[in-house]
Order: sequence, then structure tokens, then C-alpha cells
Amino acid sequence: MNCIFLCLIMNIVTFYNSYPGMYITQSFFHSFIAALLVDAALQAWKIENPVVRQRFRLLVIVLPILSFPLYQAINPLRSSLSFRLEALFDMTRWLNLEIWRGISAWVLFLMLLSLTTIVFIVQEIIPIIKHALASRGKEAQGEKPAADSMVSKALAHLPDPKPEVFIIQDDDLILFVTTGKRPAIFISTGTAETLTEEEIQTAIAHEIAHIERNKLPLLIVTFLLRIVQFFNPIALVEFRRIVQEEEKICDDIAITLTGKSQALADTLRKFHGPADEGEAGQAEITLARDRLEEFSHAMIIEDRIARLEANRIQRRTKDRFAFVLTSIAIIMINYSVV
Amino acid sequence: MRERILGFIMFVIAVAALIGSLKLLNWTPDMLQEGLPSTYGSIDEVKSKLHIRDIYIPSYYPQGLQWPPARITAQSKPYAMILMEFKRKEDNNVSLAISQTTLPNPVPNAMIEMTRTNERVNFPFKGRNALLEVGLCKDNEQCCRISWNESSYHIEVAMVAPPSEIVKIAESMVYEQAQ
Repeated sequence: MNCIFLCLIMNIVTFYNSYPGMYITQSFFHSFIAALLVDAALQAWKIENPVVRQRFRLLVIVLPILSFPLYQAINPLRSSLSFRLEALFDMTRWLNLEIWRGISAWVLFLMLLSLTTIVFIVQEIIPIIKHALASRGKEAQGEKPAADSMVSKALAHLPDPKPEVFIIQDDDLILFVTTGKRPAIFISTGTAETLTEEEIQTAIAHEIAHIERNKLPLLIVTFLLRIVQFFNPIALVEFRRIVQEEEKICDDIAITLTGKSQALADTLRKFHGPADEGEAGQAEITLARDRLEEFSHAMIIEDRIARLEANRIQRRTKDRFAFVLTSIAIIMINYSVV
Repeated sequence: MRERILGFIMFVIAVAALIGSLKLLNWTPDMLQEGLPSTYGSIDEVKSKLHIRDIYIPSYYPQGLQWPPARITAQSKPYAMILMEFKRKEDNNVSLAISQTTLPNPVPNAMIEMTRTNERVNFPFKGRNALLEVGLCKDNEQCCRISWNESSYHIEVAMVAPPSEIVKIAESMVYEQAQ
């Protein structure tokens, strides 16, 4: 048993000293440093425009993917022991630390990467597959709104081209889009009855923004790059922040289309009202996790609502200098992080 | 404009703080645990500080190498490892690297990297079965590498020179072993 465990640890050390192992560890630390510098830049230059913020956050996903092979191409001896000893930060010094009876911090690091991979599969890949499967044949379930309905009136005020809108029979508040060759918006009867005409209009405008933005290759490429970093917890967090910025971008587009920021704020409030209390008898740990997720989700929604109510829709600012400087700082510091 | 300059100053402060923190974090493990990779002034210092008894050193050195080694790097944790790097007198470049690592751990990357391997042969010497590789290093210079297991260690010698020199070095590192 001891031998199996020791052999496993030996194999971990051997793996982390190989090029794929170095790639994984360095891309993790490089993305961590990139995330710190990006946050520092956003704070320093008070950047609030979500388009610009999103572009900054993309650095955290993109640069660590390229950094290791790029640095190795520039200096093949970067992986040498001599370079490591003179580096600004050598992560193996921490990872080689013995934590308990010959078990090094590598094992904890491996556990962190494994946990991130599980979260990535459960929370990102499986929902995407489910969504893609559910989208098929959804059209058959919905019906076109009547000409004199509130949904049709709301649609009339939105600029062309408009995606197809379908009504689905459901009393719950449901509003979603299906993407692909023929994108469509689905609104439940419950939503149509609860929201005012203005609110329906802003909600549809927000979804139109999603459809239009989903056509951009940038977002598709970002997601593909994010898949490459499936093991990286920093990429996991940062991708979610990119998605949050995406929501704000779509809010801004919806307001540009409709000019009704308060109506969109009210829609958000109706959709994401106070969370229900958990059912009695539920395991405490599940309840705590759910509450934490609900709380985190509520915070994000509240931030969006506050932004809309304050009408803080930012126009594009001159950010090229800050962007270039941040990129250079990330590239230069990460070169010396091995 | 004033805000942009203020932003620039704040960003520079943040970068400086990050660099300082990374330097501090890089130094902290040495305080927490002894035996992590570090440079040493001599082999005797390695022996006394890391308590590594058997260190294989050649008795033959080709002419043109600087003595003592340009750098001796060693560690005892997570496993014992010693790397000696020697520079050439003429151009001050690392041209000989001798490493010794506890089996079955990975060999440290030295400052000599073989970019292309032209030939790889089993090379028996003094009762050991070594692997001799001949190829090219940086600037297309001929270099070679010989590696074998010696008691609980894996020894690797890499050199920017023809194979005849490296074989002499390897042979001078160990005693004759009965077959």
C-alpha cells in the first residue's frame, strides 16, 4: 500500500517535471498573476465599460495558454534548474514542500486541478450539452404570439432584423434563447402576464443582444480557449466573470435599443426575486452551498440592477494604453515565473 | 489626462507590490523547510549541509574547463539531487553538466540542452550499462550525453564535446564493478 502511494507521488513529481506538467503548472500560476494584474489595471484606471473589462479579462484566459510554449521557444533553457533558481518566483519550491509524511504539496495541487476539472464538466460542459439537446425541437413546443398580444406590441418597437419569438405554455417566469442557424426567443405565458409591455420589450432586446453577440467569433474562440484550460481554477473563475460582463454588455445594448433602463432593472428584479427558503430535511451542506450560490447570484443581479437604475451606461473610453501596458506587465512578469 | 496619469502611477505601484510579494513568496519555502534546491560553494558544503554521503565526481576533466564548477545546485527534499555545471574558459558558456538524482526521480534540466539526437546507443563500461546519446546543442555544436544508474542514483553527464571526452569523464567517476 505504502509502495503504491509512494510510486504515485513519484509519478506526480515526474509528470510535473515533464513539459506537459510544466505547461499545466505554469499556465495556472501565469493566469493567477494575469488575474491580479488585470484587476489592478481595472481598479487603477477605473475602467467600468463592460466591453473593455471583458477584453481585459480575456487576457487571463488567452495569455497563459500561449505563455509557456512562447517563453520556451524564446529561451529553451528557461526550464533549466539554473533559470529556476534565478527566477522571480519558482512555484516548485512551494509544491515540493513536504506537508505530511513524505506527501508533498504537489498532491494538494493535483487535487485542486482535479476538482476544477470536475466542476468544469458538471457546471459547464453537461449544461451546454443539455441545452443543445433541449434546443432541438423546442420550436415545435412554442407558438407565435397573436398579432394584438403584448409581446407583438413590444416587438414592434424594436429595430429589424428580429429573431423569431415563440410563446410556450408555462405559468413560471421563463425567457430564453436558442442559438444556431435559426435563433429564436421563447417566452412563457407566465412571463407575458407578469411583465409590462416595456419590460417585455427590454427583456427581448436583451436576448436579441445575446443572439447578435453569439455570432461574434471572439466569444466562440474565448470559450474554446477556456476549454483548453479546463483544469485551471483561475480560468474557471475568470470565464464566469467574462460571462457576467457579457450580461452587462447585453444590458447596455438593450438600453441602446429601447432607451428604458428602469424597465430592464424592474424585469431583472421580477425574474430574480428573493430566493425561496430550502426545503426542510435537506442536507445542511447542500443547503449551505445552494445558499452561497444563490447569494453570489443575487449579488451579481443586484449589481446589474444598481447599474441600470443609476443609468451607468458607459461609452467606450480610450483604453488602449492601459490594455497594452497591462499585457506587457503580464508577459514580462510571467516570463520569470516558472 | 490627470486620471490616466494617476491610474498609471497606481498600476505601477500594484506591479511593484506584486513583484515584491513574489520575491517574498519565493524565499519563504526556505524558511519553512531545509534541503530545498539551492546553490552551494563546494561539494564539501553540499555533503555537510544536506548530508548526502555519496557524491560522484570525475577525476578526469578535459582541458579548457574552468575549475571549480560555475554552479553547484543541490537539494535533499523532496529527493536528493546534485547538479554541477562547468564553464568553458574560452567563451564562459556552460559546456559540462553532471547530475546525480535519487532513483526514480526526474533528472534536472541543465544549461545544456540537446536539441537534436543523432545517435543513441547502449554503452557498457566498468560493469555498468550506460546510454550514450550524441547530437546537437545550441548553435549546432556537437554535444553528447551519457547516463547510467549507480547504486540508488541516476547519473547523467552532458557535454558540448565529442563522445570520446564524455566517456573518459564517465569512466573517471566510478570504480570497476564486477560483472
